[in-house]
Amino acid sequence: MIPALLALLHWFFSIFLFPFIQLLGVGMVLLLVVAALSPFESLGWWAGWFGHPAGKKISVPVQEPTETQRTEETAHYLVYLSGIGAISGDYLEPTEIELCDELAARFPGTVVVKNVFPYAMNNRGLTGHRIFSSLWRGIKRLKIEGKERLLPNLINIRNLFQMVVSADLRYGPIYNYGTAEVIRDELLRHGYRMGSGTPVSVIGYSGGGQIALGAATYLKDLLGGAPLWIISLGGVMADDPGLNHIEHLYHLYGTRDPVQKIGAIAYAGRWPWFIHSPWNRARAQGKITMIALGPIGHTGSKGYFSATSRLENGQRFLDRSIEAISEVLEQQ
Amino acid sequence: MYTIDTSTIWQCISSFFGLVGGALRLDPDVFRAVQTSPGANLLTLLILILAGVSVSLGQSVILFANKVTPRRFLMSLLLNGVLFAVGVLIWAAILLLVGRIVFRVQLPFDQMGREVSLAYAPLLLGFFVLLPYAGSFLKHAFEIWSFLAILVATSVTLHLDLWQALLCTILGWVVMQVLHYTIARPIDAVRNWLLQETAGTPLAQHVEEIIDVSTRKTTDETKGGQ
Repeated sequence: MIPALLALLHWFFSIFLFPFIQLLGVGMVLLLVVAALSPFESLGWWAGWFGHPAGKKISVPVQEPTETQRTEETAHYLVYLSGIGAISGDYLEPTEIELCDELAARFPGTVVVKNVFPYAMNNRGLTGHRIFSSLWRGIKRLKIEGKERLLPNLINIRNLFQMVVSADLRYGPIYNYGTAEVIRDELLRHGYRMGSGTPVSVIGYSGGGQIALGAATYLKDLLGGAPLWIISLGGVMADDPGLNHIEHLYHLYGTRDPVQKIGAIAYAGRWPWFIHSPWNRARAQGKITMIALGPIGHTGSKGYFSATSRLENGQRFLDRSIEAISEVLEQQ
Repeated sequence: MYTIDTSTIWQCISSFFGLVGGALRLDPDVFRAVQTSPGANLLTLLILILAGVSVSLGQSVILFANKVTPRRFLMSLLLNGVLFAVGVLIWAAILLLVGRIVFRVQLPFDQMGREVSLAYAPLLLGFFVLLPYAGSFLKHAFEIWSFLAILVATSVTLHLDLWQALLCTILGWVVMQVLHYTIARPIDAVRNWLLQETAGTPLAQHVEEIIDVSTRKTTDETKGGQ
């Protein structure tokens, strides 16, 4: 009996378990290699190996002014940076567009810029001119059709690594300078006048929170001294030096969102006992406000952009997010 | 049991990975095998240079920040590998000297060179220092791993127990530091000159400073253009 059982176990291990563990190991190593290569995109861009070179002179075609801009002077610019699920600057989820449009409607003197892809240099979306662009296009199609749930995670993994590059003190300066240029160029395309001092707010959802904070280090100077506010919507953020360059950070979070807590756990500078970290100094200066939105999760049908889930008072989660952002914008 | 055979390219590759695997496991037998195999000279030197290249790749952000061209980037990596190998062989000579003076152990240099070179095998993984977030931590982990391998190598080669090997290594490190801050300064200057000539640009050391200069330049150009 026992030898038969042992033989069965041996058969099971050798046929299923060991190959599975080996496959898992190979997968892990591959993932590590991909992660190790992730800083090369921004580093290569900075070194001038590919893409438009860094620090290029601004020659962006200014978009035709919108009806709002024609009727009144723009008093404020609002930039929206999507989460790590973003695939390009020209594609946002319908509820993200709804949030941006609703904010534009509520604040007539505000120009909303929503076509920034924050996870690459030169605003080059994954479906643009890239070696694997056809792969990303295929994944985008699957994501839109909602047929496949596993493959779109590749976008999350790819962008997650870029977000971590932004938070890394070795690569952060280069990456964040690159995204600051991307934001600056989009602001100029939307009619921003350099050196005008027109205030800019950046909404960063999820990983976009870190990108917004990182870019802030350089964005203020690149815009000729514009005051900057960051609004993090469930943002995952490190103790980024960008905090030294902003007027205020508003962190809006759902009480059922465990993802937004990752930044506070993973980055030592956000632990309370490192009192001289940029995060803790900013907190001591009263530059960070944490605002709980209620029992909202991070993503999907229970997330900040959910148009189906409702709070106890009947308000949609999406409307709660819009309302909280509006209250912050009114305070500025 | 480790076989070191460099007669064919496949044997060479097989021996290379065998040695690296043994060194990563801190197996004293691999250091014994290398001690008695003069044929391992080439393999251990290869391990050493590749470890140097890998470490340089892991810390290559400074080359990118200084906008080094792809050709010069590769040349810089290779030069770093060679300079790394020279540095480690000097370190081996110092360990040999300490062993001779303090522990009265006579040993030919090539044996010690092979042992110490092999002990740097963990740094073959040095390119993983590139990993965002975890990379800085990994750098220290690889250095500690390599240090432990040096302890095993010193212990095996000089026939010392681990405490004696630790003492030998610490004394060697002190001598290295004294040399670094005294007679090694002109050598450092030559090394830095070589690195700059290969990179084709003065290698500014702080990425933030480089970016700040670029930001100021862009802002000034923009103001000038308006």
